[in-house]
Amino acid sequence: MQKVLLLAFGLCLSAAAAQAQVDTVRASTLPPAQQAEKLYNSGVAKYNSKSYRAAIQDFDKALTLRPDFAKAFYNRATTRYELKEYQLAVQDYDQAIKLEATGFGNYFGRAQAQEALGKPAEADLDYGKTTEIKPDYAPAWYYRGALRFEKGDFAAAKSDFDQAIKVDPNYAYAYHDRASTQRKLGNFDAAIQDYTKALSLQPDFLPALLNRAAAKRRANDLKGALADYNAYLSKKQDSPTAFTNRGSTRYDAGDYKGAVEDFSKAIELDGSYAFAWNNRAAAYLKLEDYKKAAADAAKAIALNAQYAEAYMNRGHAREMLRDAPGACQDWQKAAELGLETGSSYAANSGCGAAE
Amino acid sequence: MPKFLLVALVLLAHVAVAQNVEFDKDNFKSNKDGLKEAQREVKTGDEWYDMDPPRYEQALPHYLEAQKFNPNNARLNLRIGDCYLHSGYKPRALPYLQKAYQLNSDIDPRIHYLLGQGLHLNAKWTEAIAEYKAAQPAVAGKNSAALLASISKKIKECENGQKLEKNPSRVFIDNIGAAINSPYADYGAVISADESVILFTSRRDNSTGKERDPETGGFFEDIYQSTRTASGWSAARNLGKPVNNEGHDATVGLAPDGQRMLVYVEDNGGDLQEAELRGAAWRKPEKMGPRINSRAHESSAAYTPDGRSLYFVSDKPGGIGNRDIYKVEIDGRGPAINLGSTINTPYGEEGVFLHPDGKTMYFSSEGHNSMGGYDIFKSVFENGKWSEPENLGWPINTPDDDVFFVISASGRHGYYSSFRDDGLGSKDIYQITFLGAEKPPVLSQEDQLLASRAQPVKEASLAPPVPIATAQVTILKGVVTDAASKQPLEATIDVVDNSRNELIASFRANAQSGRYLVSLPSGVNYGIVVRQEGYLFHSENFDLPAGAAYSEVVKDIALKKLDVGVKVVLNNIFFDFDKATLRKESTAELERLQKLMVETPALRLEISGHTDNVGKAEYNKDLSQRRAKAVVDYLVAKGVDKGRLTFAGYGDTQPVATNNTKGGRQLNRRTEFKVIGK
Repeated sequence: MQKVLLLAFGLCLSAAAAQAQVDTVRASTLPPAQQAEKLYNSGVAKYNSKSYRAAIQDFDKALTLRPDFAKAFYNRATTRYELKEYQLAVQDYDQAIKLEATGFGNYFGRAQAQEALGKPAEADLDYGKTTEIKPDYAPAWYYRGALRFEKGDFAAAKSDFDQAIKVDPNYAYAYHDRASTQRKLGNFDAAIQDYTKALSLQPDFLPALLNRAAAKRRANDLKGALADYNAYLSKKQDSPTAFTNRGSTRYDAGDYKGAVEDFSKAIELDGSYAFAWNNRAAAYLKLEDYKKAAADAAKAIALNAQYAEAYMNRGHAREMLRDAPGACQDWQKAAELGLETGSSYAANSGCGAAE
Repeated sequence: MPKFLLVALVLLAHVAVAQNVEFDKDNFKSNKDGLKEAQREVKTGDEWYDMDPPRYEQALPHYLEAQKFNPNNARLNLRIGDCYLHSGYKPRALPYLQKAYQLNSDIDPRIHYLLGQGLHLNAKWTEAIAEYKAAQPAVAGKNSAALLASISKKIKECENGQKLEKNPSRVFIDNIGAAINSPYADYGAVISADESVILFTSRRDNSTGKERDPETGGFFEDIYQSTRTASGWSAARNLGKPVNNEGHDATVGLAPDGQRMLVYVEDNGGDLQEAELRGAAWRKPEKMGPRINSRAHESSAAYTPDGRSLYFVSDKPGGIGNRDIYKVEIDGRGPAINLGSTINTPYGEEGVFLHPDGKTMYFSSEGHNSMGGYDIFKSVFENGKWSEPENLGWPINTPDDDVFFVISASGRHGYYSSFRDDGLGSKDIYQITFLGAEKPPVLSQEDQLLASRAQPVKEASLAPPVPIATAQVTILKGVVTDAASKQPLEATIDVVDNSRNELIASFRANAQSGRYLVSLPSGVNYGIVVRQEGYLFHSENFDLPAGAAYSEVVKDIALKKLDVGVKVVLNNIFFDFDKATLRKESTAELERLQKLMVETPALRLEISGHTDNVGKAEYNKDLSQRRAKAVVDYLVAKGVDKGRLTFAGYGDTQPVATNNTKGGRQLNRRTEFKVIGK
């Protein structure tokens, strides 16, 4: 039974090659231990050609023949990760770690699977273990940094990105993410410097251009920010976010008409992009076109009923359109959704208490 | 365009506008009748214009008729411009003055000065300054020093205007509507603190006596009233006699509760009188005495919220400028005090109004940083002095006179009168809605902040906080009735400062409606006592910490007659937390209770303590009993016969409200008395 199956697999693997058929037939006569190696190699080849299901079957077989085959567990885990079977991947990494406690790749792989399962704390521990075993493995530092960034622990994130850059000075992503961390920490100059470094290491890494623009905007270098947005948009015009963010920068620079143009372009690219609708409402408020402002904010709210900023802006528009009760409702809703100034606007406009 | 053509056109245009056309036969050969009629109009206009003092209002319609016939006479244009400068529609002077100058640049030595005024009144600041400066060299004669000073002041006003217009106040200015405004002059609006009543002065054709003022040709002033209904202001009605009489009767001030009004009459050089509302009718205004009225012109006034003092404007000698603001204690003995040079300037002050918070004053002034004529200013009395007056800004203030401004207790609405193009005729009353500082729009931004993550990260919205100027006053209003018959009562409302055990003010509810209104500025623990002979007093407590924002509380109060079994809550008795020790803020209430016992010798009371349901029932019962006993002990120590008083602690067994809310629990924690014999 087993032989037939193996043969069948061999046929599948290289149907056109007569030599392979011979080889497979030969393989079926190999001793069990070597058979496991062979299956393992076959699994690797299938993994590389992205035949993940077939690869898993090879690794299964290899492990049946040799249950202490740590690398096979590792590879099956990695394949399962690709198949998004993260829980099974974690189980395989567990086995691999049991068999080979010093393999940093096992921890790193499990960390990635844990992250994919939405378990950042477990992933953090495994990345940490990876850095203990192999401190010069930059991705472990980098990914843990990203996790800590997402947790909002920017100081810890920065120290991880520092380490990643220390062990791999050409790590563009690490520079990029450290830049984002600096931005979050309010160090805009440092952020701009790191984004610039990431771009010099990887000139086609365009998101860095957008982020540098945003950092410049925060640092009140509106001219510099606009230059970066322009550079990005001269290469790629498919991003509603890029248009929206350039529009916001134009808004900051007092160019409300230019801002409206950008937000409109973003809406043209993606009519469901609520931020563009909301921001265009803000620009129309500045242009004192309150009807359009109210309509755009209403559209943003229709796209996202929990959109605090859009309620706030529509409240402002309604106030100027002499719809006091409507404005009150919107400000109170904005406050309920987290923009607290909404309550004081409501209170000072003689609105009744929120229901 | 070829150059020669352009030159020719410019020349033509110059000739077309610069030709002065006299009213003579040579110029109007084909229309002699028309010319005669126009000349007649000019002559009539001139008769009014050349009177001493000139009667611009009467001259203007005649000049305008003549202008229709011949629009290109320099002298006529100048005179029309001058008439407009002395009318309610001053900005309309400008095109006539400009035309007069174009037709004949030597038409009048004052032309640059007049042009400066025309431009100034149209808020054309830079051009106005240039004309004023051009007017300076021509100034001559015996009044030259005064005129030069006046030009310098006007230049300064234009500079102020330039600055103020750059940062306009965010307001809506709305005509208050046809229920109140008429085709005639309507002005001098005064309001109750809660904006439920408006009184104003009007010179409409149904004024008392229906006579016209021979001096101005307009109807005599009368006072009108309107009340706010669900659908807006009710149609204004003439207050009639005894308030309005055949002569001028103008309202200048209204107490926050709308029960007392200040009236301007022409007697004695212009005096202030006071009228009281009894039921639905205003009583005949009464003179206010020599500490307020002098032989000079007392023109406007405002009550302090406690009703005890008066701020008023007088041009009596000894002031800082020609008209100053004074303060006087109405029932006191001391003289009126000039508010001093922070408020009063060498120029005129007019139209004083005090916000119900008791510390914010609004007034108009020709001085300070006025942008022309009278501007409205605001000053706050803090730490014993008035703050530097703040110009209410453009577009509330204009280059023309902006006077007689009042504001609601909430600070949300102001009222004043103005000549505007959207008016119903002559001067109209407008409502200003204050929108506060600009409310910044909020933008959203997201970026893909992590290279290894596709998900963009939303940036926190930047919603910078804006300064909020909220009125710091609480309006307490409602209706006082007899608990049994439900009929309104003309009860007295005492406002007591509990921490100082001091009576701040006393008001009376309206005899007919039972309505009352008191304004309570923040920063005081108030005891409110509603009393009426033959009834048990009712007490309320309002502890308003300094800075507490504006609120309006409606509290209808039913007074109970002194009968066996009747219970009254003593809202102004305070104990230390978790103890039975009476706090000193309770003194006023305890003294009231003692007085009641003295005044009604047969009265026997049970004093009871009550708690909410928080904590152990046994403990609550004990605490409430000890507290009731503390009250009894106080009264006995003050001489009340022990035999007339019993005490009881009911803990949480007699709630008057739900224990599930904070407000309910607060109502349940109380000290009460019950009449057990009388």
